[in-house]
Amino acid sequence: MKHFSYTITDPVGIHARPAGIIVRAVKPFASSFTITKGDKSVNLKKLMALMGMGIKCGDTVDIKVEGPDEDAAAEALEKLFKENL
Amino acid sequence: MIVATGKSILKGIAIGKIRFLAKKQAEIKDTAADPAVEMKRYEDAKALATEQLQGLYDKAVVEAGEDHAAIFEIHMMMLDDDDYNESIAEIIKSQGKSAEYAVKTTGDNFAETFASMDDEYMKARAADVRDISTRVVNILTGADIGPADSDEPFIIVAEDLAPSETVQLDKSKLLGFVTRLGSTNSHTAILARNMNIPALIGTEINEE
Repeated sequence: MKHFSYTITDPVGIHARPAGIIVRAVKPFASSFTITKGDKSVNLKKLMALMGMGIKCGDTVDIKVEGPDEDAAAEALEKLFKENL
Repeated sequence: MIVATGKSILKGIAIGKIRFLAKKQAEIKDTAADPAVEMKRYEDAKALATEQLQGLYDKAVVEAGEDHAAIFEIHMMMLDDDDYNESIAEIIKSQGKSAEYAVKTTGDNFAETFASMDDEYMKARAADVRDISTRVVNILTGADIGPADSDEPFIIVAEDLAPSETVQLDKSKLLGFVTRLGSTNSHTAILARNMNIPALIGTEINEE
C-alpha cells in the first residue's frame, strides 16, 4: 500500500477539469485509489463522487493506492497532482 | 418596445430577428414492462449521447479552443461515471421504471447534490449534469433538440442555454443570445466569450 498527502494549491480546488484528468489517469490502473479529506473518503475512479467532495485550495488530502501496480500508479498520480493542482 | 437589462458576457451590439428557444417538456413515461429492455434502451441512448458529445467537443475545439471544449470531455466522463450508471440501473431494475424516468431522476439527484454545495463553481456543475441527462432523456423520448434551421440571421432568447446548446447553435446565423437565467461562471458564458457571441444573461424577460 502506498500513500501520500498533498495540499491543494489550485485556487479553484478540485474542479471539473483536474477531476476529469485524475479520474481518466487512474482508471486504467488495476490498483484501487482512495482520497480522504477530513473524515470523508471516496474512490478516486468516481468522477461525480470526487467532485462532490468539494476539495478546495488549501485543503490537505491523503491518497491511498493499493494493488498490483501501486508503485507506478502512486508515482504517476503524485506527479499529476503536482502538475495540475 | 421592450427594454430589458442583464449581465453582458461580451460587449457588442447585435440587431436582428428574435427567435425563442422553447424548452419542450418531454413526456416521461414512468413505469416500464421489462427492465432488460429498458437497460438496453439506456445503453443505446448513452452510446448515442456519447457520440453527440464527441461531435460537440470537435466543434467546440474549432470554435472556442481546446481548453473550453474540455467541458464536453467532462460531460462524456460524467455519463460514464460508475455512481451515475449504478443509480440508473438500480432504478430500472428494482423499481421497474422506464429508462427515461431513471435517467431524469438520477440527473436531478446529482444536480441537487452539486447545487446544494456552498461553492459557486460546484453549484454551476449542476447545469452540466442536467445537460447530459436531458440529452439522454431526449434521445429516449425522441424529443426535439434545439431550434429549427433558419434562413435569416437571428438572436436567440431562452430561459437558459446549456453548454451543449451553445455549441450546437449555427454560428453562421447566430447574432447573439439572451437568457433569463445564467451565471457568469457557467460554461455557457465561458463558451460564448470564446466563440465571440455577444450575449446577455440574467436578463429580466418573460416569454411573452
